[in-house]
This record gives sequence, structure tokens and C-alpha cells, in this order.
Amino acid sequence: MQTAALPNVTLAEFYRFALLLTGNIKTAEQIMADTLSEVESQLSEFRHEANRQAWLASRIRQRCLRENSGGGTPAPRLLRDEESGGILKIEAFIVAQHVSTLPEPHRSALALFYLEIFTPEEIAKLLKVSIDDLAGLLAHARQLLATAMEPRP
Amino acid sequence: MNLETARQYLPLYRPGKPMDQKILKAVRYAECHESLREELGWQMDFDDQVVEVIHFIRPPENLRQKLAELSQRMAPGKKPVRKNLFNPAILSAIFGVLLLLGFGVYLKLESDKDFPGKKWATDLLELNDKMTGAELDATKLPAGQLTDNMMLRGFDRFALPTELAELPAIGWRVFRFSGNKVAQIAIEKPGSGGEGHGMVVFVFRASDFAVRPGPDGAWKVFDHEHWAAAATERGGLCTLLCFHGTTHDMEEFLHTLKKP
Repeated sequence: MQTAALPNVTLAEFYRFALLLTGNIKTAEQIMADTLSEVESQLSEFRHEANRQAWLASRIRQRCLRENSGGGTPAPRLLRDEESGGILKIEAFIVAQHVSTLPEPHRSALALFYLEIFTPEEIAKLLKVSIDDLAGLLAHARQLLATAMEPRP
Repeated sequence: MNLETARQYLPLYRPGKPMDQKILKAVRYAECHESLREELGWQMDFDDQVVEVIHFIRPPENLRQKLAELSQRMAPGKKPVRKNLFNPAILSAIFGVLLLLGFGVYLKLESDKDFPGKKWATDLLELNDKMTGAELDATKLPAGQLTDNMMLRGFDRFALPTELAELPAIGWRVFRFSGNKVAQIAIEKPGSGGEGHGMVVFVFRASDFAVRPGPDGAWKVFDHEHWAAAATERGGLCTLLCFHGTTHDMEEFLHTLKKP
């Protein structure tokens, strides 16, 4: 059963968000664990937070950007697929890697846009850009991602 | 809406997401324009592929476990336990009473969430995810004043619960679902300031789908996937209200409505 406070579906979405921003399974897991610990330590504040999802997205993004600014490209890691118990579909790994190499704020804009959580207006607010600018960022991000995913000769 | 404006807003479009009117207008414009339609098609196809692929990414079990523990702790109403309650005898007695109470509450909560015909209601909720918004006719009327429009489209004696009647509708339609007519209204959620936080209302004859949320006209609140929903039956019509959120959000929203 999902809880009203933090449904499992939300966790999955935010985990994807962290993975798209970092391109690294280990880092994404660590960031999610740290963020949940932060929620734990600030439970009373979080409980009264008007927009918990925006709060979470903002915290996760901050952590991811901080992690990425640490320098160096994270070593690619294969992702787990719980259902088969084996390796996650290679396409998911490749897409996460490509998204994680997009420049900011294009990367965050596209990753947030692909979550099933936020409206464009909420994303613009989270990224502190206008809705027109968000449209431009998304168009550019899609082009960059499409180019990056084109097969190389 | 012109070509330039439509092209500007199209990148914000994703089917199934609540959208601002200007984005929906851009989509409608694009559908009638050859090159824009092609651009929108590419974009939707690209997005579909990426979203499909990234949905293979799932959080590991340890994070789910942590979330479950955290969510339990976030349940409201927890009070600090006083030291003198740690006496084993008292603890046993309290535990026994709590177990009985808990079981009773659990049964009550479970029965409150389910009602005859709920499957039809959840099917309608899922329908929202497949919509682009272009299916709806735009309107600026309060939702309760769409009776004539509904009648002209074949939905006779349409009525909304009085507490919803004054909400501002932004789109509407009548469609057939499993052979029966259903009225659907998109409403701008109060307090969203026109920022695209919409809600959707379905109205249908309760007998058509044998949906019985409750005998007293009270709202039955439940959730399904990412949808928070509330259903009520009044005068033979069933009203299903939904938006993206939690049951808590829905309960809060229902409290803001005027009492019938």
C-alpha cells in the first residue's frame, strides 16, 4: 500500500531523476539515501512542507549538482534489473549516461520533465526560469540528447 | 496563436500531463500545420522512447525499505511514550487493546476505500493518462453551468454536486465509455492561480456502471497510481473528482469546498 506521505511511485521517479542527473547508479543510490536521511532528520518540517515533491526534487538536484562538480566523469556501472535479477536493459543505462552529460540546466529540465510528477510550470519554478525559457531548454536538451544517441560510424 | 508562438510552446507538451491552455492551443495549432505536426510527432515519439526506457530504472530494495520505515514514522498522531508505560504488564494490556483497535481501524479503512464499481472508477482515472487535452472543448463557464452543453451532446439531466458547481471549467466533453455516456470536465483547481494545476471531473449514471460510492452522498476518497480521487453518488448520478496528488491532498481540497 502506498503511503500518502511518500508513495513508492514517487521514490522510483526521484531515483530515476538522480540517476539521470549523475549517470551513476552508486552515486544516485547514495544521494537518495542521504536525501531520505535528511527527511528523517527534519521530519516535522517536512511533514508540514506544502510541496513535498518540489522540496525533494530541489534537495536531490542540489546534491547531484554538487556531486557532479566534484570533477571527473563517473565510471559507468551496469544497472540492476530486479525482475530478471540480472543487468538492467542496456538502453536505460545508455540513456542515463547520455542525459547525465548534458549541460545544466538542460539536464535538470529534461530529467524533471520526464518524471511523472511535475507540470511544466512547477519545473520552471523549481529551476527558477520562465516558462518560455524552459521551453527553449527542453527543445535544446532533446536535440542534444538525440544527437548524443545517434549511432557513431 | 501563430506559427512562432506554437513552436515556442510545443517543447513543453507531454501527453497525459496536466497542461496549461496555451500549450494545448499550441498542440491544436500544430495538428493543423504540416511541418509543426511533424515536429510534434518527432518530439512525442522521442519522449515516448526515452520515458519507456528510463522506466526500466527501478530503485533498489534498500531504498524502498528506508522509505517504508520513514513513511511509517511520518504517520500523523504519534505521541511520545511516557517512561512509566514501560511496565511489562501495562505494556501487554495496552498492546492487546491496541491490537484490537488497530484491527478494527484497519477493517474500517479498507472498507472505506473500496466500494462497488470501484474498478470502473479507476478505469476512468487511467483514461486521463491517455488524453492530450485536445479532446476537450474549451469553455470559460462555471462547471455547474454546462448542463445545456452536455444535453446538446446527449447527456441529459447532467448535474454536479453543488459544492463543485461554481468551480471554473476550462474544458469539457461527452464521450462513450463501455457503451455508456460519460461527461468529463477539466477544471482549474482553486488556488493554482492559473498555473496549470488542473483537476478532472467525470459524471455518469451510477446505474450504468453499478458504481456505489456510498448511500449518504458523502465523498469517498481513494487513490490509484498517481491519482487522488473522490467519488460521490447523488440523485442517481455519480461524480468522480480527481487530480495528481495524494488522498491527503484530496481530503484537504474537499474541506475547502462549500458544504452542500
